[in-house]
Amino acid sequence: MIVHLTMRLTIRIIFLLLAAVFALQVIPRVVERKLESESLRNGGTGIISSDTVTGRSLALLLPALSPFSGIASAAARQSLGWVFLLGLPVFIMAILKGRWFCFHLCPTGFIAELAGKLRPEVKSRFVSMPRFNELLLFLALGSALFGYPLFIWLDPLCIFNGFFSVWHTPVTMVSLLPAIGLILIVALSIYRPNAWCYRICPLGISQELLGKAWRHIHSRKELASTQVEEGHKPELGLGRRLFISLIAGGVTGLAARNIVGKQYSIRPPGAIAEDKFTAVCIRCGNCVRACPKKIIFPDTGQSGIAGILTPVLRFDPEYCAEWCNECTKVCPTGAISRISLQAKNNIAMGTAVVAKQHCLAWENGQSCMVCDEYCPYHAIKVIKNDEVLCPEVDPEICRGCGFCQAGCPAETKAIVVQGKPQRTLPHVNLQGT
Amino acid sequence: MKSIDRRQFLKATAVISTVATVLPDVSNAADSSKAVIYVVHGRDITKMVAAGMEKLGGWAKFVKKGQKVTLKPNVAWISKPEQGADTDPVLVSECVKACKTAGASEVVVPEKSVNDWKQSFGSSGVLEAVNRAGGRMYALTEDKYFRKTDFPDAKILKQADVAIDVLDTGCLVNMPIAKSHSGTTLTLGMKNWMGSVKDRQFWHRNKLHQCIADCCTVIKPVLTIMDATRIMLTKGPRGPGEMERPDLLIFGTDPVAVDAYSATLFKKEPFSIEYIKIAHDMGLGCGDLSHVDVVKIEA
Repeated sequence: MIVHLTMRLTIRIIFLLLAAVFALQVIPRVVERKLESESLRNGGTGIISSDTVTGRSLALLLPALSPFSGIASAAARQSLGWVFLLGLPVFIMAILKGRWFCFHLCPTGFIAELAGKLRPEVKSRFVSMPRFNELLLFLALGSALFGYPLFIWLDPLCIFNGFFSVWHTPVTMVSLLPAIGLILIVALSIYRPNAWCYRICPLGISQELLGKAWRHIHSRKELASTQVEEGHKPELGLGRRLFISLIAGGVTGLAARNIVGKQYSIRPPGAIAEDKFTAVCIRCGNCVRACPKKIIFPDTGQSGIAGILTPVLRFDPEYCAEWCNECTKVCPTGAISRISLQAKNNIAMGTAVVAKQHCLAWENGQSCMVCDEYCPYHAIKVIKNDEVLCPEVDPEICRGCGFCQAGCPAETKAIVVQGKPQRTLPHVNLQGT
Repeated sequence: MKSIDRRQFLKATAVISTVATVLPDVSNAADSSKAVIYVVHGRDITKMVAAGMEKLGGWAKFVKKGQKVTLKPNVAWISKPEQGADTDPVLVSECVKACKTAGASEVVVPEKSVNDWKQSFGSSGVLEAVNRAGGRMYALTEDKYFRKTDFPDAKILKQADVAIDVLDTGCLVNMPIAKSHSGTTLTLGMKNWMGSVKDRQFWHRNKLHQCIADCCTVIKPVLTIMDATRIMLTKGPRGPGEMERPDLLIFGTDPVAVDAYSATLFKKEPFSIEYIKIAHDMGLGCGDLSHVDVVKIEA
């Protein structure tokens, strides 16, 4: 079979590979290794400080290109960062040329299209499917206005990005979960070619509507003719559908926001309030892959149904290191704010709690105090109990970094970090700084 | 009345004088079995190491030509040299250089850090110091670096995975740093071996002090050089804590005696540190300073 390498195909392949390289965070890894060996060769320490530019943030480029998740998350956060600007080019192209991005760049669309080519005989069956995409888009926008954008994790760019979590070592069922989105899209595209792009993908429809709206402003006639072409009943106009879905989205978003987010999971440092986090996080997996300690995992449901695949921290056997803020550099939607190392070290992600019944000191009278020994912030208060030194946590100092939990030698961990709304605590001088 | 004759007098004189000349010899013999530690005071670590080692008979007495030397500094924490959680890098590099000069085939520095090893090795400056001096420092991160070892004379720690380079070496030198410790009051020389075993969690669960002493029944350094140039008085073992500068290096072949003397720098009775008492009672060395020769040297 001869593949005719057109300009469009070449661009799509290059963009797909580039997106994969960014998602896998290959560039920062290579740069870090190079800096490290260079430093060691010159008799240096081989340590790269957290403010060295290694290109870690490149990982957020691809998901941030989407104006769909960009606008919805910005509305929910009620703030605009520079990352939001990354969605502008696609936004403008959509106004001028409709689905231009879909046809020329979208890596998920490319994969879905290739999968669809396996069954060319049914390629137009999708037309009879309902237009879920419009509903999803308007629900997302409506709910975003109430701070809880629904379905923005359906953005194809973050689904593509999330797929690369399979390279997270060690590979477990949990690390494979985020890859499921792209696999489902491929499966759907084989079953019903084009259904993803034209009936579900909210980014696709937002571009289509933007283009239409622009043309609509110039000529009402053109819009009407396209609607007739696509077999829509003209009486249920875009405006009314938009209005109904926005209201519906607002109501469901508000309800979802109040129902979920009661239980606090331990989120990466700098995470926005829990009642928005599960919505604003698009499950792109960037933070999971950026963490050098590999303590960020996609949630399998502990933080509720709304929190599935959102990042949560697990502290055994590692902890959130006081020299690292890598996860805060890669979030495309601002679910995790971009913060300095010092600001990160002042955030309490949770609070450690001593379970006295399991504690070697409290229960067995052993001289242990590993928790105090390990705590970078000296948040452990030493209590004398029958001449044995025993630990207690000072919640006004504890950051919930989990080093005590990771180091606790008791059979059942006697000190465990519990989730709490994140807050900033007074600065503590750290050893090594 | 019978007076002593000349013969008897000569005999008696001979006996008395023999006894008199032998007696000091006997007491000298007792002295040489006594532990000796050399406490070197100064500001220049290079000079201090040279002065201490000269008294001990030079590096050649410990380093066998063509054999491996293993140094065990304490590099467990992310800490700057002036913060006193890790052994001073200058001290380590001086010893690496001296061992190389004395004919060591290679000088290895294995360490199992508590903090991230790269950050600890880096911020302490020890990795850089060892590299420059021509030694090889590495982190005990993999199972292949350890060997299951029996401790027949131990009370609790009957078996442990110990770093192979600590077990199989021509010359093992312990280079701890003296500092306060939340669990054991003080971290000294004997406790430093926790950084050479795979599972230190076991020690915490099963009478830490006894395990520290047990470990010393098998891991026997030929020499201990205690870094007491700056000592962390509070918030140890990690810091940052209150610091003091005794400007001392303590040299000794008896690990318990070195620890006992170091404890006094913190105004602690040596036997108030449980593992010193246990080690002394188990006959691993002398923790009773009244039976230790403390030789003070200015460098």
